[in-house]
Amino acid sequence: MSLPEAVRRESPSTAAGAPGVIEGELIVHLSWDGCRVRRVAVRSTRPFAAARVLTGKTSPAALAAVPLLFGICRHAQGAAAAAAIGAAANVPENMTRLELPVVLEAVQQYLWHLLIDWPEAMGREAVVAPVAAARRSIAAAARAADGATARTAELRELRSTLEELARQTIYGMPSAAWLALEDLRGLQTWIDRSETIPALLLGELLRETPMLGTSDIAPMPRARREALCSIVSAMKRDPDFARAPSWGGAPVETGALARMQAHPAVVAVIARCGNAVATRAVARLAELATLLARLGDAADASGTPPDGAPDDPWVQAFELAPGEGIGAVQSARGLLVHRALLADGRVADYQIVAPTEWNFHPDGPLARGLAGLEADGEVTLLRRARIAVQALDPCVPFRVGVGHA
Amino acid sequence: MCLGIPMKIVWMDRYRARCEAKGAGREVSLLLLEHEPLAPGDIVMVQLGYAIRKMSEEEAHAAWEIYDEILAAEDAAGAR
Repeated sequence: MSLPEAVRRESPSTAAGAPGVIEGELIVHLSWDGCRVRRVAVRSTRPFAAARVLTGKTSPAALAAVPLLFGICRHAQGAAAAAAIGAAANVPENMTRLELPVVLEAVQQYLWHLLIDWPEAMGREAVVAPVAAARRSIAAAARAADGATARTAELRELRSTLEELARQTIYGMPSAAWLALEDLRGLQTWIDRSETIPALLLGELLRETPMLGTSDIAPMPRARREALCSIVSAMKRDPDFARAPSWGGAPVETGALARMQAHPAVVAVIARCGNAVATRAVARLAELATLLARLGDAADASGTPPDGAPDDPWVQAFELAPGEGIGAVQSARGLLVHRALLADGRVADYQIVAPTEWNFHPDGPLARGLAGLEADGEVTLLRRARIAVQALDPCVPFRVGVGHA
Repeated sequence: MCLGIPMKIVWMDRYRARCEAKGAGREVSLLLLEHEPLAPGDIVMVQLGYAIRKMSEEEAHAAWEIYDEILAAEDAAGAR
């Protein structure tokens, strides 16, 4: 699908979402016949040279560059780089040490999404203060923890702070109690009784547009070594693979819905709505509660950072060949893959496949989820489309435009 | 790539700032940094319309050196 040159009417993703200086943007164009969306085109202007400029740098210089470039996902990107370069240099990183900042970053991201982006997309006021408070608490704990030592006390206090924030602003109950919800009736009872903004928004979605954003794209399977090696083979064969990645030749959805697809509440919503906006919301709520439990486990394990079940790592590293390594990290937005090739202590080749590229693939979950979208007017169409885009949480500004089919 | 952009605050009130980088300006929310001491002239990393962390001049300079490389590589790729 190609994007028409003139995107007729466009809407900024946020009031502050001016065109990017460098980070680029996602442009979604809907061909609408006045009743339903006939065609969807998704285009990205994001710079893909970011990985290439690491080529030629020494390993330490490359590792120092990554956190300078990336903002909200800097810990995930930093962990992926450390894992890939460490594996390539045959100096394996401690995955458990890398994982804690990645998990804390994901918790921040979920709070941001559930309290800022989601309400704004649905026309409500963002709830920023708890997100800022979580950010401050995590930063303070990181400063106090001083690496691997003195971690337990700080982590226990931090977990308690984050749990209280989540109880007050998201769940209206202990996160573990929410995680025990297992069917639509339980979810509806929570919606009816809780006064939090996520409960309000989920209730609105399930009541008014339960099928919004439903796509037939499969959730990404667990990222095991064999699958990751297959992805890397495709990255090496096709330099443009990172722009529109596929799994076994087909687009897949990455992120909370993929990781939480077996949770009973998510299963129940999939049965009613398919892989829809509402399903992604429930998956995020379930995963945030899971991550809070994981932090609790870590705090109770005498300073051992969270490493989850053996088949559920958030940071993985594999040596593919001498001098070649892969780092695979789960982030709030989904799977992030770095591949590093080293020669004589310098980066000879570097590639990154980011989560946004899976979910905003030209024929991926967003495009398929918007195809056939019905609306009786353009304002409603744009509002629904923006909610569907935001549910897949792009990490760059986006615009939605409409043209008549 | 979800890049964060170092930008200089040229005007601000308690919750909002006008930030600039490379001649481009943008309105930025300061709500996530509301308890940090910020002033015009400070540099913040901006992503998705929010200032997400304060940066030193040195960090911002180092980041912009890499961004200039990225822009040059993108231009070269576009010219091919």
